[in-house]
Amino acid sequence: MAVVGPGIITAFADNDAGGVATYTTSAATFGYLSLTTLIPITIVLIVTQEIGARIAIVTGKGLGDLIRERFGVRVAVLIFSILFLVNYGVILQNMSGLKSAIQLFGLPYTLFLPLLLFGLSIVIVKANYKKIQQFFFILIFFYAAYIISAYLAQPNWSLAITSIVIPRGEPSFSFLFTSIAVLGTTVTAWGQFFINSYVKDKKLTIHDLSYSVWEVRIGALLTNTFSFFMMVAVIATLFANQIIITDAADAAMAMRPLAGNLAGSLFGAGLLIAGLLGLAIVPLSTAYAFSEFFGYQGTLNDDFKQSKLFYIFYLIQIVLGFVVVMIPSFSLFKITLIADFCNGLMLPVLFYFLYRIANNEELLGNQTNSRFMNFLLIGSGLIITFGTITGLLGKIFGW
Amino acid sequence: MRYLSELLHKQVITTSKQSLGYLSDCVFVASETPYITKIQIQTKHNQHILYPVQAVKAINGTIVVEQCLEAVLSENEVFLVGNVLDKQVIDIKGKNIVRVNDIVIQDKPELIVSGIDIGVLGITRWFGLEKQVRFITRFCKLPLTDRLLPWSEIQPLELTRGKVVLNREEDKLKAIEPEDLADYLEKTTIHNALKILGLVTDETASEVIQNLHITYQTQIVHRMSPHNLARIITTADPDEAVDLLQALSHDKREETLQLLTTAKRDELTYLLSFTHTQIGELMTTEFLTFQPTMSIKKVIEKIRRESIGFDNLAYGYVLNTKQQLIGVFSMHELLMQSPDTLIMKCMTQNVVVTYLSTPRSVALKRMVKYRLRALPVIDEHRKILGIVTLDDMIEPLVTGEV
Repeated sequence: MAVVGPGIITAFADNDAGGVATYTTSAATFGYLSLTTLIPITIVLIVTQEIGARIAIVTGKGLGDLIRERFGVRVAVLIFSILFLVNYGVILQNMSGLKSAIQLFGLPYTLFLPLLLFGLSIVIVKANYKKIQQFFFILIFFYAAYIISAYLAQPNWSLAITSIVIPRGEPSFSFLFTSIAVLGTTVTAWGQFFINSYVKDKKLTIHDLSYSVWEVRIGALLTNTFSFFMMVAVIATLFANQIIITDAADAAMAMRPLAGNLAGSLFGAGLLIAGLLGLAIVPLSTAYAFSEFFGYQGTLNDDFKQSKLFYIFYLIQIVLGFVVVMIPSFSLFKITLIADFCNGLMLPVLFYFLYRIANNEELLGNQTNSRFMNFLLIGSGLIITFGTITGLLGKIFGW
Repeated sequence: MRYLSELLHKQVITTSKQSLGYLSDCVFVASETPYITKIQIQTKHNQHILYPVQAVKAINGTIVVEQCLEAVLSENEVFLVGNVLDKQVIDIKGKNIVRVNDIVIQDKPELIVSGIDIGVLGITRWFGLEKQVRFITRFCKLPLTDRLLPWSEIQPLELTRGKVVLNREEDKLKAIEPEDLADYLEKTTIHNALKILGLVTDETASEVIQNLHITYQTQIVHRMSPHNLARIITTADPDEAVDLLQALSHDKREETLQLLTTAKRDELTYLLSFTHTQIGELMTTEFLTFQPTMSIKKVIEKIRRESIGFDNLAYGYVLNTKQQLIGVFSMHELLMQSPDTLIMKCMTQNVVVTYLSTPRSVALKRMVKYRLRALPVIDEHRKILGIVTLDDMIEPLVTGEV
């Protein structure tokens, strides 16, 4: 049980507010066909997270540490700058997700958003690793809201379950792009850094390796099971009634008259939790990466004074995000597009580093990547690059 | 002194101008004195070859080596880039402090690793932006200083195990006072002392040298290049600068003086000309003079403008049109007046003075008797030559150098 944590938490955080939005849009637009993306996504998530966890356990170092030590300071500064920007985009996504979730419940966000953020910051700064992990697990528990929400929507369960393996409907180009976008919000740049840092901070040893690998696999499976329920809830209501939505809050709102107030509210609660989890973990991944790249002390077990820069980095991102989200004319749609695009561009670069590090015998000894893993890593890297570039071109030229 | 960032990736050519590739790493001995023994060259075919450091003829601009046999790694030798650069620095308690951002290399007389740079400026250097960042931070008044750790702080044994470990705790590294550093330097070898002085800022180095025992001070300045001396002398107090110059041979003193700015050189040459007397030796030019008709407001403005960088300013001296000393006022007296009062109204006309020929003991007794912190030194025409301060007078008595 001691190894439980990193895999599950990172995987669930991959379904942050931005993730929920992409899954919801995909499900509302393509219906049961969208469920066929779940298995490939789970596999890619398992492979990339497993490689990250393995590197962290065997070397005792984070991805930031390794990139700095193997590729030098110039590469480190470059990668960190991009990561900071990409993560900032993701933070904005989560923060506005949280904001719309608060509004869904008819609460004034000018009061509740700062309150929630303040509470969150207190937990991250004051609590130690163990307490924070418990906090994460409490948040994750509330993802169960999606299961109830799906149940209340009264879907065709047998059709839904068989759709996971049997494609229902004509796969089109726009479906392909949406699927790649879904992959891009599940397998993320920050997730890649976070799993490494978080495993390192947990101080797991080589004896924990096999258990930890299983924990990562279970985490990815669980996450995508919840994604399944979330998508099913959307399909049974919005897709069935041909309602087009652009974000998760819209979906929750539209669900109320179709599946009842409770289903819509639970869906909204899921979004709230997803936003909170994202806002805890994404800025943490930047803060960890900063500590690793530039060698400062950075662990959740330290108090504020001991890991000052680490915590300051966390808080700065929350404040920066909050300031922008409070601007009334702020457009989430544009930010989401840009953030997803940058994330998509950064992932192949990170996969390159993962490939180089995970195949280095000097670092990993006999724990280097298998050929199958390399195939999947390179393959998904190529697919994401292709999807990102064509996706952007499509947005520009209106394909 | 060189930084690794300046040398790495430089082109390496043979003495017959044939290109070998690029400098990709250096090999050094992991010991108390980390001599660089080999350089690693990355050839155009992406192979790595080692050359002994003896083959290196020049490191300015391009690196020039003599064609010779390839060297092999011997026991206890480690790589600078491979084992030290970018690595995490851990203090003796295992706490992560920072990363090795750059490496300081002493290039004369031999190539020796003299320390590591753990500051932010070390990062900017790799982007060729050090000067710009320094300029911006100075402009914004942000105190961004170099953070260098001398080699003596690092445990050589751990390097061979792939770790950069310090032999003390992080907290103890914090700004060591110049006085303490001076004490420490006096216990170590001259060789080490010079290395450490090369790592600190000019201001610190000059303060440290001023705090050294006279015999040790002499040894140190004898070993320093006129260039370094000139830099240190520029930041030192005038009377201390004169002491340092006096410790040098005639030729070296002249050479050093030539490297200074004209104003500084004139000031020091002037002071040096009085060093044959007991008082002249201690005299400094850090004083200000005023005309009797200046208002208090004007006096204060002049002090603000012209005493920047002064070590101390206890009194102002008032001169008549013939440049003769006619009055003195203390800073306290100055502060008590209203801004429009003329300085001649509040100055003391009975000035206690000393001459170059006055014995030190007499001058000191005078200072004690009248409770003065400084005495003006005047010539037979009552022209002021300089001042002697109480602390400079007392110092030789305390340190027993009389």
